[in-house]
Amino acid sequence: MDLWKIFSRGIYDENPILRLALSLCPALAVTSTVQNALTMGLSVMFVITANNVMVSLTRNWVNPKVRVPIFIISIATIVTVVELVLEAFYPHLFKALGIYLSLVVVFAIILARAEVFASKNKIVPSFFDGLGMGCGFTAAMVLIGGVREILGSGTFLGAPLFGVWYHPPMVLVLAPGGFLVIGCIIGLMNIFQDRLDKASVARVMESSPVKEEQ
Amino acid sequence: MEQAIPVGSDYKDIFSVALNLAAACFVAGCVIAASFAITEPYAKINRVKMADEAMRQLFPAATTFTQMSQNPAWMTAEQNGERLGYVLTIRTKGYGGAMKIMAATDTMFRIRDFSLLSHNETPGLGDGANKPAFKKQFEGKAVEALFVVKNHDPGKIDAMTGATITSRAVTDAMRTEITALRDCVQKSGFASSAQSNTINRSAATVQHN
Repeated sequence: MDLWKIFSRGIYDENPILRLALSLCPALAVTSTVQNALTMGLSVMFVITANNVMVSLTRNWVNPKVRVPIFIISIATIVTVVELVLEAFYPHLFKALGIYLSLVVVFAIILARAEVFASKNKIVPSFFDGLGMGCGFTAAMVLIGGVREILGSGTFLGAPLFGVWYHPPMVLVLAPGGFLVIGCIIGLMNIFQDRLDKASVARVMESSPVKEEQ
Repeated sequence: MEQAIPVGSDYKDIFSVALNLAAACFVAGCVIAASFAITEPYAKINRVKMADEAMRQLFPAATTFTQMSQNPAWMTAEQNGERLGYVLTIRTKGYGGAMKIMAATDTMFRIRDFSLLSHNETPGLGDGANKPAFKKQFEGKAVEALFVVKNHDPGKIDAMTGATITSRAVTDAMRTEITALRDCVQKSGFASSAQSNTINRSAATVQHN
């Protein structure tokens, strides 16, 4: 398979949050500001890539019956080592990441990629699959976080955007707002995809009139 | 596919499952232990440094911090022998579990500032307790004013929206601890806080730079 295809699939066609609807719970919890969303997205990107490589590396030795516990051990080990290294060498980053890092262990998307892709593919494609999924995850997180922060707090990356006349609706920063925003984004994406599909169907029909019989 | 497996392979399977899990845990344990052994000395230095930095931020002018004999979590901040105030390390429980707060008061036990050293509060809501908008309310307030209210009152502490439990935890913990400190100091008189464990700040920081 084409490496670019593997990489780009995670960004739109199989976007972890907006298309696969995985890891919605932590995505809701940390997308109240852009900065939090970005931090979480990058942490996940690193762990998912490293874990895909680990799983792909050991795929021939792991008994299929216990693959899931072994994936989880692998994810937890990677996260723990990252935490230890950050605490020792980048204490300020470690403090800023706070509880995000330990949360990464239970992200469904990481386990899903290990199961669906990395346990059946070679190391290089697995690496790009993880990286692509991580990028898609980060992009979706930042998008949701951006909408919630701009509308819910009237700021972007902490800098105020509007004058004093703007009274932000608090609900957007709280959990229900997260559901609303994710729902609206998925709805818009579906409308967009529908248009795209219809346009391509129309194009196919024009070029090959044989298919009209169906 | 399962029918193709000959009789007796169940035992082999169990063996390989057990071996797999044991090996995975063993490797994971070794990796974590090794990284811990390598990083822990640095992490220890960093923890001291971070606490030190937090203290310095709370009392930029102080030259020495001295642990008080009444409670090892309390310290006095002094500038060339003149007492500027107190630094308290407070442990409490917030919305997400254990929290560690470092608070600074002046000699009249009014709050100068505080900072959360460690916490597990909800990102975007409860972690606002470490941000200026919430912290500014505490400046110059005495323990009598440390009560959380939901309707704005300049003499009290306004709760953070969506994080009432965190606001209460921080405020209540500081009120309790500072009251204890005040009672203790006033009972024993100002002179008696023993000079047991002077921490020389400049020496502590230069060492691990």
